[in-house]
Amino acid sequence: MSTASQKKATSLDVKRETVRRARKRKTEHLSEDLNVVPMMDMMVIILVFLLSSLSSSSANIPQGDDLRLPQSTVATSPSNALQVIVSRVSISVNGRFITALRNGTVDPSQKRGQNNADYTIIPLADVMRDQFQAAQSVAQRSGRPFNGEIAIIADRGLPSRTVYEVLYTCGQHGFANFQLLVLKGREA
Amino acid sequence: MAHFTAAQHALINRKSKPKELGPDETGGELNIVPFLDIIVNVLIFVLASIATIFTATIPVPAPGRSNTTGRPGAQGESLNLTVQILQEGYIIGARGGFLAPGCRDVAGRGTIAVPNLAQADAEGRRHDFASLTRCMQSIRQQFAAEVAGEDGHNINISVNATIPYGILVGTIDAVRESRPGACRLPEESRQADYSNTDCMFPKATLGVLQNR
Repeated sequence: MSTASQKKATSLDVKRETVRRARKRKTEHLSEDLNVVPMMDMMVIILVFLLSSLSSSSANIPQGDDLRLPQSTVATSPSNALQVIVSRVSISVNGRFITALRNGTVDPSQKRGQNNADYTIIPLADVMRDQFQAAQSVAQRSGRPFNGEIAIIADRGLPSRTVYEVLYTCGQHGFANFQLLVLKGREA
Repeated sequence: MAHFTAAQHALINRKSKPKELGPDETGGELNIVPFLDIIVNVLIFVLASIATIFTATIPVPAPGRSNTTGRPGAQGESLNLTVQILQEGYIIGARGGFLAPGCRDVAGRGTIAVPNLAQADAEGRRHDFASLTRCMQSIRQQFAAEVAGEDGHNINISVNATIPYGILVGTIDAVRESRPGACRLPEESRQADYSNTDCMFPKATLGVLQNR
């Protein structure tokens, strides 16, 4: 039933048809798959950004049973101040252990004159003296004024007296601008 | 149009079919689906943990010791507002005297102006922060002239040595503002702004009671 328009295909026609079909199948095959590479790029960038911002955050505080921050309605952002952490079991400055606490209180032997009536915690005072000198030295070299800022990260169940002893000791050694670190959240 | 024979159709079909890779040839490609799973899970956990550790700071100056009697001193026309946090509640002093419950009348020394709640809240606290806030609002209305002065936003908070630190922070919150966010506290790059009428006593000076 061949007509003039349906002449027998030559080998060139066969090649052309083969290429056409191959291209068509390739296009169909590509449209079935999701191109995940841009999504992966985006996710990896977001993840790296989040992890870096978390690690450099001043609020990177290891909370646990011994350190539960109080909640507050305040919205002031934390700054990159020197951190004094007062947990139920210890006092540390920028992650460095200073002294142990017993039932949330400082042992009288660690106080000036080994007297519980005194507020100065001797091991903390020694460290704060060094920190003050270092901070002043940095301030002089950088030309930026020393603002005496210090972040107090204390457990919400501690006796107020213990927190005061820490504040008092720091205040006696040049750090008088306290930032009490709290968790945002409680409604008034 | 060219007419293909059956043999030519078969040839075209065979040659245009995408080449299927053998098991040994596919090993060169990275299977990214497990990798994606891990990334998505890590991302969710990171985002969830960020939501729970939003922190803020309360700026306070260095503390001083309270006087032994806990009596608020009358200093000219200043309000000289003091709040003492005791186990039983709050003693409030203003203009050299102590306030009675309701914070309107003058009372004798050592009167609890804001007693504790009958039942503890979910966190086990019995101090009545809401009533303390209402008391502070009342004081701002009663002593409007003193509050309008230079020291109108100052308050001295003295606390019993054994009171938990969380109660102290709750008290600072309760006296600071009657609506969250009403006071703009000083920050590294911003000045303080206490002009809002809901901003009560944000400039807290802390002290500790030695004789209670």
